[in-house]
Amino acid sequence: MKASDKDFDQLFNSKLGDMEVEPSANVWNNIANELDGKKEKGGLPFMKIAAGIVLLMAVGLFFIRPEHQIIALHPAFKATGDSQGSRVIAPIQPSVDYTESPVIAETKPSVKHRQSGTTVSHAESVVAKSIDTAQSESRYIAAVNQKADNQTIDQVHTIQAQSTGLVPDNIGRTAITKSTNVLTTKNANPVIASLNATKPEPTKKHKIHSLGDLLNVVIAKVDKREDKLIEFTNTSDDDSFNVTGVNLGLLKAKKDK
Amino acid sequence: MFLEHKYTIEELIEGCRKGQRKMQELLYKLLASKMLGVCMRYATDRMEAEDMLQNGFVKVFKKLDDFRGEGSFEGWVRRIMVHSSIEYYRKNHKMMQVVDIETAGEEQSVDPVAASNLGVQDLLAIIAQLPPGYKMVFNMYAIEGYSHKEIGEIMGISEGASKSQLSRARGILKEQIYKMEGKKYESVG
Repeated sequence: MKASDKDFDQLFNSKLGDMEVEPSANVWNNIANELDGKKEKGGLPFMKIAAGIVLLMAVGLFFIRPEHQIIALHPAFKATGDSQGSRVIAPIQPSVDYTESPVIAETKPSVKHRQSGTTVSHAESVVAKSIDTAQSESRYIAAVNQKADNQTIDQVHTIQAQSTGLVPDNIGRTAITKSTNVLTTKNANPVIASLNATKPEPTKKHKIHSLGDLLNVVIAKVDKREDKLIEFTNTSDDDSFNVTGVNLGLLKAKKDK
Repeated sequence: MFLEHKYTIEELIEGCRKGQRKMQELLYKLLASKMLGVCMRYATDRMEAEDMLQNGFVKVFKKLDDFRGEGSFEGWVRRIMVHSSIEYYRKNHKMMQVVDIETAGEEQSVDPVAASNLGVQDLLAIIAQLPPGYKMVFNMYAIEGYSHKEIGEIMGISEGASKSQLSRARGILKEQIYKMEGKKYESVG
């Protein structure tokens, strides 16, 4: 029996063992395609997990990184502010533009008044209005400098006096612009402190609140790529220093969704 | 032996390990027709066999680092094809039929000389008619030369089950051959 079984098996083996069949041409193409797309086909759950881990690591790195940068940037920023005046002025200029624009807006209606009414008397009114605008502007700056000390408000008052003194000599707008320049340059430090509230200027008290903002700013500068920005805005929405750990978890959950 | 005589099989393997598509294609072309011959024995039709071949070759290229150079490369690829074929059946036929087929009480005696007159296509057709489980076991044992222990491990069945399935497979095959031969003699006579 066993011998016959062997012979029987051998019959099949000899006939079919070395059988060759030419495959159709598309088989290789399918193989090549599958090799190209194997990541999508083969390991979807695995790739998701891997991507999640990578994301977590990236997020973790970026949470660690800005803290170091705060320490590094903070003294550097102060050093430039104290030693070099030119660099301080450079960031102010946008603030000058900012203060100028309402001034122009206010002077323009005054011009309209002059056109509609008599000419001579309104020249004074323009000056008067320009003074008003100068005052209002200085008030505005003072309002901006809410957080600034009483000293700065005193400075503003003195500058008011100067600006009002300047106004009669020149025509309204130039005088105002000059006065604004004076204001801004003299108030340089408080203005920076107030207007750069959005920029990284971390005081130790505000560390908890500004951390989210700081992260946003830093990430916006460092990474303009897709995912990381969104994640950090999410974390900043959630705020608070302690919650960051939980935010990582939330991020992970969001990523999974 | 080599489709393109520029490369040895070792060079092809090395190129494939580096992920060179051209080398992969050459290696495929070198072995494809032989391996489709293997898959054909496990499949019910040619389309199924080509699916098995495709899955097998993808596996070959992915797992090429596992080949340690022990034994022939062709033998290694052949084993992967067998595994691929069985896997294919697991996926597509879910339960591999191990249904008892009522075999004739008496085993038909087959005249080896007469049986040898059967062509490759005839034998292939007979094997294709076997229930999948029997077909796998018979192929692996009779043609691939696997032991019952190996078959049991690959198929996830016991050694005894492998043995019994083999003997039943033989019984069915012999019956089929007997019928075929009878028909042939009838038509001749």
